[in-house]
Amino acid sequence: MSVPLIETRDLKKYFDVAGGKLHAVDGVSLSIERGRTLGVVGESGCGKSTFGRVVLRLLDATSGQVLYNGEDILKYSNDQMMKMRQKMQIIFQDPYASLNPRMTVSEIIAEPIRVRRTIVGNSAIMDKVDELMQIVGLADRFVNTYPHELDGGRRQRIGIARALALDPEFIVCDEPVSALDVSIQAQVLNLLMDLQEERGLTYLFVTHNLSVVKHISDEIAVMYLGQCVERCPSDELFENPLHPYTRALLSAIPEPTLEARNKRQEIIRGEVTSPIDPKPGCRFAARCPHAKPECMTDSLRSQEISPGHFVSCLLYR
Amino acid sequence: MGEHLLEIKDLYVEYVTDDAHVYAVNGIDLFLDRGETLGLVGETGAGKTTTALSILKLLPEKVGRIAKGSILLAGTDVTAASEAEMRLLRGETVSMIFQDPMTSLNPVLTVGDQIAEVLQLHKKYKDKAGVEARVDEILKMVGLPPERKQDFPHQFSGGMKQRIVIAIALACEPLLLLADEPTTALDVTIQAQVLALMNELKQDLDTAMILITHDLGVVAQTCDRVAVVYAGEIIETGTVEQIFSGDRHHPYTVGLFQSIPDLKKKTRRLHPIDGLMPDPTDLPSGCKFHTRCPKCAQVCMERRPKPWEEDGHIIRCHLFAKGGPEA
Ligand SMILES: Nc1ncnc2c1ncn2[C@@H]1O[C@H](COP(=O)(O)OP(=O)(O)OP(=O)(O)O)[C@@H](O)[C@H]1O
Ligand SMILES: Nc1ncnc2c1ncn2[C@@H]1O[C@H](COP(=O)(O)OP(=O)(O)OP(=O)(O)O)[C@@H](O)[C@H]1O
Ligand SMILES: [Mg+2]
Ligand SMILES: [Mg+2]
Repeated sequence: MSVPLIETRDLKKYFDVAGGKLHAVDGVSLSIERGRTLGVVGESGCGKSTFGRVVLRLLDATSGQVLYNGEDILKYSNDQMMKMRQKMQIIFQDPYASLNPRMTVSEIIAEPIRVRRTIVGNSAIMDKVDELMQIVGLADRFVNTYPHELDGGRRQRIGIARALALDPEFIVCDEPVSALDVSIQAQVLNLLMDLQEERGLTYLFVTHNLSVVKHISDEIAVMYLGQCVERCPSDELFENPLHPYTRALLSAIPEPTLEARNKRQEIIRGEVTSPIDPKPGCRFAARCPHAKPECMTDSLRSQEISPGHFVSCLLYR
Repeated sequence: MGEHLLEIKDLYVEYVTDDAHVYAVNGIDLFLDRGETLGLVGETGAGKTTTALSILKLLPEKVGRIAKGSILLAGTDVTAASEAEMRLLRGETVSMIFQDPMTSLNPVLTVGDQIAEVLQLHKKYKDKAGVEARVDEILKMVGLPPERKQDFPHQFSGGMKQRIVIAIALACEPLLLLADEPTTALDVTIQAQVLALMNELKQDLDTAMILITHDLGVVAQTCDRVAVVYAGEIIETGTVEQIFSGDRHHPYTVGLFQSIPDLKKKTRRLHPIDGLMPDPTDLPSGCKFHTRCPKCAQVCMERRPKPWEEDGHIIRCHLFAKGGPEA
């Protein structure tokens, strides 16, 4: 097998908070082949964004490894990392907070180019900005507007244009389409997939939208409270979900039909386990309909149930 | 019945900046009764948030203004109300969950203190212990461990911040809740939990709700009525049954439904509606959707369609005019 473009090994990120150590990412090992897309789904607050940021070294890892083409970039010096950064970009979840309110649209998109000097000369830079705006479907007239004058969808397009400015190899897409309506969502997903095909881009794609993740991913990882609980090829996850959390997740998808409206849907109940200094055992146990006493104590290990399908759950021991 | 809780008539809202004149809302009519949930759907930039901000009279100062029309909220004429009257309304009658959670969170106050502050403003809990217990309960309701109340907003994930904002809005027990994309940053299990909470509020207190969302699944599961907005106009409205079934629909509504990726099918490409939303500084004549409409006829380019109505199902499209688009 070839070396994956991105691989994490037992990656951890803990935050110090008032109550103790918060285990945001707690031993995640995943890999993505070049030109492929790994989708990451999981409960809000389970560590998806933190994982993406640690992989890009926008946050310092607490421990573990991040291999890019087989090299551990957590060991890179600042100089080495500077070069690396061009190849790795992020499209943020929050189109509001991530754009500088004092810069115009074209300044925001041009900024990475100016900082890295990948293109020199004002007119050449503006040509590139025009091209990028066209690619993401932003009309020319927005060149000199400020982000707060735009609706959410257009702001998110700015973020995408900016991420593409340096022609990266790897992009962490953190909820890139959640602020968009279905029609524009479809346009942006088609765009991201076309870009992948043309440029061989590799994506780590974080989203809450399960139909989107199924559509765009080759493989999907399901996270729960800092850990990866299940991982398998995209279609397999929907056909044969194994972990009880994955099953709960799939059954909670609201369907855009009236028939589904009257079906009483099941809501997972039970206390949410705190990520601050969590106890040993399965973190979903307190809410799991299949929990047994040993789930609260035994430590879990990921097992390959069928080729390429991994799950961490005592039900499958 | 008589009076509606909220009634908007022929509303026009504009943003005027140094280099543009944006026609964001262009003649919206809508009403809402107690205990009702109205879904407001439509493409980005359609004017959904602007409509909600107009109800609260929170349009950006100097730039945004109501050009025409009336908004009646719980008997108060919002367009004529003073800032003092509006403040009272915003405190007691209507709450808004903003699209961007940081608009309503104070970055230097712990999350627990922020919820407690709202509870104290809204009567009931007098002693400190009562307030604290209620704060814990509210956090748990939106799926957050109470231990985290000592943390600050920036220490939470996007979806967690959104849940905190929802928790605060619900703690106010409003008559009308304006929820702008309240669950977009949430996974479906937490989303189901939050929507169930909102439903309880509706049942217990007869709260009315305007739910702005892109997610037609959420609309199908929670709304009583739906209004589809395009370029600042409601181009189709009706009960969920009328919108989600039957074959009389605005071509734009049809396009919206076709853009949803289907979990049960494997398709390589999605089918977005062709073209882009018209530029709101330079809106097309006639029907504003005509530039993208697969069924566009001559009249569509010339005249704004009159509403067609049947049992409260309203469509603004020449296809439904008497005798068809040629009439
Ligand atoms: N700067 C920080 N300081 C302390 N805790 C943090 C910080 N950033 C994130 N956390 C915590 O880490 C955990 C994971 O957060 P993260 O943002 O990675 O979640 P997420 O899976 O992306 O959630 P969402 O789907 O809501 O965006 C959460 O419990 C969050 O409160
Ligand atoms: N402060 C402002 N100054 C100028 N134009 C604005 C301002 N706020 C909004 N607009 C414009 O008004 C139009 C309607 O925006 P609005 O935010 O109401 O859309 P929306 O339907 O809520 O979209 P989204 O789904 O993306 O949130 C858009 O064209 C937007 O660019
Ligand atoms: Mg996140
Ligand atoms: Mg909006």
